[in-house]
Amino acid sequence: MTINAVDVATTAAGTTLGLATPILWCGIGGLVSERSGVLNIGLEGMALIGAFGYYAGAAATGSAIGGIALAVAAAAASAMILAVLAIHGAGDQVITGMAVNLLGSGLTAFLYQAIYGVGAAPTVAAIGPLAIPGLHAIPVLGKSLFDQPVLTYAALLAVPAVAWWLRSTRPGLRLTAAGERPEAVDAAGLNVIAIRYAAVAFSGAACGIAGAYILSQVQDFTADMTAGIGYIALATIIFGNWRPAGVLLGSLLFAAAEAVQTVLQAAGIKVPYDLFLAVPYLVTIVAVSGFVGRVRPPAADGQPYLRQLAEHRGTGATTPPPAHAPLRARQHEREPGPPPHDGRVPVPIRSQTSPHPRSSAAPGSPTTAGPAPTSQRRLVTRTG
Amino acid sequence: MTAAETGGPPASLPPTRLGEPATVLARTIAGNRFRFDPVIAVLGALLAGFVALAAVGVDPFAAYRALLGGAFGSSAALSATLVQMTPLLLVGLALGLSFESGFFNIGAGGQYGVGALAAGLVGGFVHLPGAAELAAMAAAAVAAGAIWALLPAVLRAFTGASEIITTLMLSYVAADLIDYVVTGPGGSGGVVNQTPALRGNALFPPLAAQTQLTAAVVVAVALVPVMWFVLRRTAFGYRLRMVGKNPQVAQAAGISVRRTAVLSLTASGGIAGLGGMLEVASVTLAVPQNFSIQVGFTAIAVALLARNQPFGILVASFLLGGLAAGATPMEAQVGVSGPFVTFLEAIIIATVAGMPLARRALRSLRSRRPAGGRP
Repeated sequence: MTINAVDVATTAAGTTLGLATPILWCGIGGLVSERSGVLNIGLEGMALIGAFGYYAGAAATGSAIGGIALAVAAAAASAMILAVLAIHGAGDQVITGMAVNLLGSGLTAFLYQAIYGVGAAPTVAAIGPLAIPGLHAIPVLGKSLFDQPVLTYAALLAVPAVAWWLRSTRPGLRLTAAGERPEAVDAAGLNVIAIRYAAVAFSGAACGIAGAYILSQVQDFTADMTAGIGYIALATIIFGNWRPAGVLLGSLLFAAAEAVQTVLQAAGIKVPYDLFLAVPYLVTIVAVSGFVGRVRPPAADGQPYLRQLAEHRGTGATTPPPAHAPLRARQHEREPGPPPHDGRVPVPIRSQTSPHPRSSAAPGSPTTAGPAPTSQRRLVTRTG
Repeated sequence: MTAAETGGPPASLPPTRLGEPATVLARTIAGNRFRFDPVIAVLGALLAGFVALAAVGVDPFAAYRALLGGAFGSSAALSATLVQMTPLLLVGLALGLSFESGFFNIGAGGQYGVGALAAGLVGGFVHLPGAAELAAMAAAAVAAGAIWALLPAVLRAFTGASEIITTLMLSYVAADLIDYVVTGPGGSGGVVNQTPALRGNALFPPLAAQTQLTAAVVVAVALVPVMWFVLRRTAFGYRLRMVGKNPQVAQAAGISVRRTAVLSLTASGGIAGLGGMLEVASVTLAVPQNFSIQVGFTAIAVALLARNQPFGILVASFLLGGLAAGATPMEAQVGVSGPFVTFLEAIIIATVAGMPLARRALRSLRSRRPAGGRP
């Protein structure tokens, strides 16, 4: 019985780490992108493109290295679509990211169907586990933690590396500044746009590795095989409060929920495992809801940096643009699509009772605080 | 209609960059110019698809003939298109409503899913006489969809939690909930994991023999003018659009942004939920395991193409429904299918999103004035 429990624990820990690896890669990529101020909803699509890239690359070259190279290149290239549209404020970043997701889903399955669909599709090179000498002999922990594919070790090493890079190096600090106060970065003579392009390219490359990892484990491509890890990665970023260590914790949590569910199911223990799978999503909602320790995204996350707007905005980057000035700019910057006020920065909607900043001279004056039914009705008729 | 549609700004707003007297005329022209955006996007997507097909060695002409023939080429094709259009139309209207008020109900697929589940359960387990059955199913679906959107709505309004994240997460929770219910408490107990098969008065009456076309499409299309009326001719719709245009100004004008956020998101969820009911009671006839909620994402293309306008959503959902319907014959004839259509949708969204950038680039080229000079 005890031996069985040890086995289960070993399997669960190993499975957790395996499942966490692609989430972690996507999460780190998304984190860097968001810390630079670009909200990357397209992680899922980029990971899929990475998976297909690995498949095509490994099929063509016969080696895992070729697969990884094409995965990273293809995913980074697809990230440029997001970069061009999102960084220059053309389309809403959420919408653009969803377009990348659809592109990844559609294009990869289409290409696979068209190129490899006739006849038996080849099985490509795997990236096998690499036992670390010495350490993997440790009971339970060794077998589960030190007998993993190299991309798993790389992901675990990337966490402290990115954390250090963001906090302690000059380019890392600049990147963070671009996501917090792009005006300041611009004023210092640095190129906000270039920094953001680099960050988005990195996020694409990281997602490419995530996709390569997934494909290297099963060695064949199937449509939508990333199965939502890009969205889970998005959740881990929020859950982890935009910190690499938090992303690691979040991806382990999500992966553990799935691993425990798999192990229990395999052991024939009856649990409502579908509900089990939903727990991490609910945890993310709690994390983002602000009830338990508020998370704080980068101040300019999801906001394109446009100099025309910045002139109006002054240095107040942390607040949404004031109502008056950018209305004009917005109207021609973002004509189609959903209205613009909606970065995902959780700016609480002002309550009706709290005075509007511009009317603070006369708080609670009837003209600002009270409803204005007459004028409204007049305006409604006018629109008709 | 055009001038009003662009939200002829109330007096309290600053003047637009167009001068006062010329406003109406200029806006009309501008509005008309923008109407070409969707056309350009669709043509651009078809062109990109053409290149992609040729690149992988599929005859693009044969593929498009199969795709468009399967979508619009015959009465059977048209009815298949209308069947595909129905859920897209409902979820598109739901998204249009939320986008118009400035809130991103990205997880509308989840509300669609729980709506379908509620309808499947009511239809499968509760038997009422006559039309009461369908009415009960619809009520359950609307309620379920609205409840699914209520938590994100309340969180958005009172804590500022991004509804993008919460609705997206909840759409995955919805998928898990559906799987849990159909494999367990709400399952039919048969060999297939699904809710009890709907029959009799729990189904929409068919409109044409040999097709899946039912009265559900009539319900969906009838909702379009209703939505237009609500958005354009009621005080609620006016408040909603005003919040979408500028929440600060709306707040200053006495509109409760919180209230509007909650109402718009829950209404959006209810409509998406109804979409799930229409699908279950006319096409899938039960809620199976792994019920697809992909429509929540496809409908983003619909709402974007239509710029959230109800009648435009009707046209866009017909078009994208056609592409979905044509995918099946296309696969039979040239061996590429659904993923290709998803690819086209992605290009459509990206093109619509990229249009202002292209226009801005053109404008700055023409005027030779730097886009953002410094003082």
